[in-house]
Amino acid sequence: MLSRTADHLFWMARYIERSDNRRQAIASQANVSAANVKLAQRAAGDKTRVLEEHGSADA
Amino acid sequence: MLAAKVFDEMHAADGSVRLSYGEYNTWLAEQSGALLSNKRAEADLVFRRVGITFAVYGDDAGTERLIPFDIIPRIIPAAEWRQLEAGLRQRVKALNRFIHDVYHDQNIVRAGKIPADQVLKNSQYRAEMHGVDVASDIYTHIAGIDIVRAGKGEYYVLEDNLRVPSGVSYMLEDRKMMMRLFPELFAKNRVAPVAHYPDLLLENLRSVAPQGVADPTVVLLTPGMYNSAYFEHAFLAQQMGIELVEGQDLFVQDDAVFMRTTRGPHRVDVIYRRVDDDFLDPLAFRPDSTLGVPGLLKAYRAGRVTLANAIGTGLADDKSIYPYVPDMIEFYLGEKPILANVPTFKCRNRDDLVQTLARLPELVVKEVHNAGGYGMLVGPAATRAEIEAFRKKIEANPANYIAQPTLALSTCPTFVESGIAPRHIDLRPFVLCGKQVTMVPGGLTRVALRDGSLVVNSSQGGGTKDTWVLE
Repeated sequence: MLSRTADHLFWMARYIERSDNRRQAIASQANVSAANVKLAQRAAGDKTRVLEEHGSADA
Repeated sequence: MLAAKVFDEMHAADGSVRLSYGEYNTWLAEQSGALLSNKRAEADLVFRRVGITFAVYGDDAGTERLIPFDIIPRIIPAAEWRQLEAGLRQRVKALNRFIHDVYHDQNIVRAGKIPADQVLKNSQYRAEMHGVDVASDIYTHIAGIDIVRAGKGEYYVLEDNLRVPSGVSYMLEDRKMMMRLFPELFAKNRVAPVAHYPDLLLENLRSVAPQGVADPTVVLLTPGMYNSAYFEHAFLAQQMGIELVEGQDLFVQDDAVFMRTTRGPHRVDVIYRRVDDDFLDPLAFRPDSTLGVPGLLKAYRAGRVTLANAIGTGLADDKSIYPYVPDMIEFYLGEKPILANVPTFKCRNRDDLVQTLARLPELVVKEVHNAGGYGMLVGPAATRAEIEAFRKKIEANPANYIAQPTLALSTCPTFVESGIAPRHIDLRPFVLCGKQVTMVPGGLTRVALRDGSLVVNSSQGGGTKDTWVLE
C-alpha cells in the first residue's frame, strides 16, 4: 500500500472519530436543552393552572 | 442541406438500411420512444452514480461533468475494420520509427523528406531525448488515432494522439452500459468484445520493462484528482491491478525509481504516465512543477525505468508534422499508406498561405501546437468578425497554422430531444505498441450532439457512443 493512501486512511479515521465526538456533544446538549424546555413548560403550565383557578374563583 | 450529401453510417443514399445495421434496425423499429427515453435516463443515472465524469477547465458551472452517452451504437462491419486495423498498425509503426529516427540519426531530415527546422525548432522536440535508447525502441506505447469518415465513406486520419491519449475508459464503460441496458441486442448481433483492453495494456506495459527485469512493477502516474481525466486514471489502475501514484509517491535514488509504500521503498520499473512531458521532472523541465518526480529524466536516460509513452512523442503528433505522415510510411516501411490523411495546407508555405487566406470561410484552421479543439476556426460555422480576427492571427504568424477543408463528417442516428436524428461522429481507436502491435476491435466514437455541429471534443460538448465491430 502506498504511504500516502495509508496516511489518508489514518486521517479519514481520525475525522470520523472527531465527528462522532461532536455528535455526542451535540446530542447531550440537545438532551439537556430538551429537558429544560420541559421544565419551563411545566412551570408555565403550573402558572396557567393557578391563573385559571383564580379566574374561575373570580367568576 | 448538409444532411442530403453526407455519408450516413446506418442509411445508404437511397434510404435503405445498410447490412451491418439490419439486425439493429429491426430491433429499433419495435422499440417505443418512451422506452428509449427511460433507458437514456437510466444510463445518465448510472454514469452519475459510478462517477464517470470528466472535468472542463475554466468552467464555473461545476467542474465535474457527465459525458453525454448516446444509446444508439455505431456499427462497423468486419471487412471495414480489418482495413482500418491494418492501416492503424502501419501508421503507428511508422510514427514510432519516425520518433526513434528523429532522436537518433535523423535520416528522414537528411533525405529531405521533412524540413529540418520543422523538427528541430518544434516546441515539442525534446533535445534531452537525443541519443537516448528507450526499452525495445518503443516510444508510442499507447496511441489514439482520430479517424473520420467523409465523402462516400472513405476513412481519413484526422489526428494522431501520441502523448497521453485519453478516452479509453469511456469505450469500456459505454460497452458495459449497452450490455446492461439492452442485453438482448448482444444475443442478436455478434459484437467483438473490448473488455480485455486493460489486460492487453498491462501485458504491453510489462513487455517494455527495462532489460533484465523478470517481474516488472508497473504503476500509473496521475497528476491527481483535479485532472480532467482522473476518472480514467483511477479506472485503468484498478482494472489492471496496479498502483495509482502521484509524483509525491515516487522518488529517485541512484538512478532508480522507487515508490513510498507502508513496507518501505518499492522499486518501480514501468511508469504509465498520464502527466505531460513539461511536468514530469522539475529538474529537467518546468521547475515549478509539483506533479513530477525530481530526477526522473536522469533515471530514464540511464535506462533504469520505462516511461509510457516516452518523452518527446509530442513531436510526431504535432499538427505541423501531420502532413508528412504518409511520406514517413513510405520512407520507413516502403509501403503505400493504407489510411489517407486529410489534405492539408501548411500555412508556412507561401502558396498554401495564399490559398488558405483566400478560402478562409470554407476551411478549418488549426493552431499547430494545440489540441482538444482549442484554438481553431471552423470557417463555415464562424461569423465574419471571427474570421477576420483569425485572419489577422494567421497573417501575424503563418507557420503557427495549418488549414484543412471542412469535411462533411459521416453521421450516425443519435437519440436527441427531438427523437432519432443524424449527428456527426468520429472514431478514436486505441493502438498498443509493445513487442507487438495490438488493439481491441473498435474504439471510442464521439458524437457532436448539436445539430450540424462538427466538433466532437468532449470539452466542447460532444457525447460518446458504443462502437460495435461485427464479427
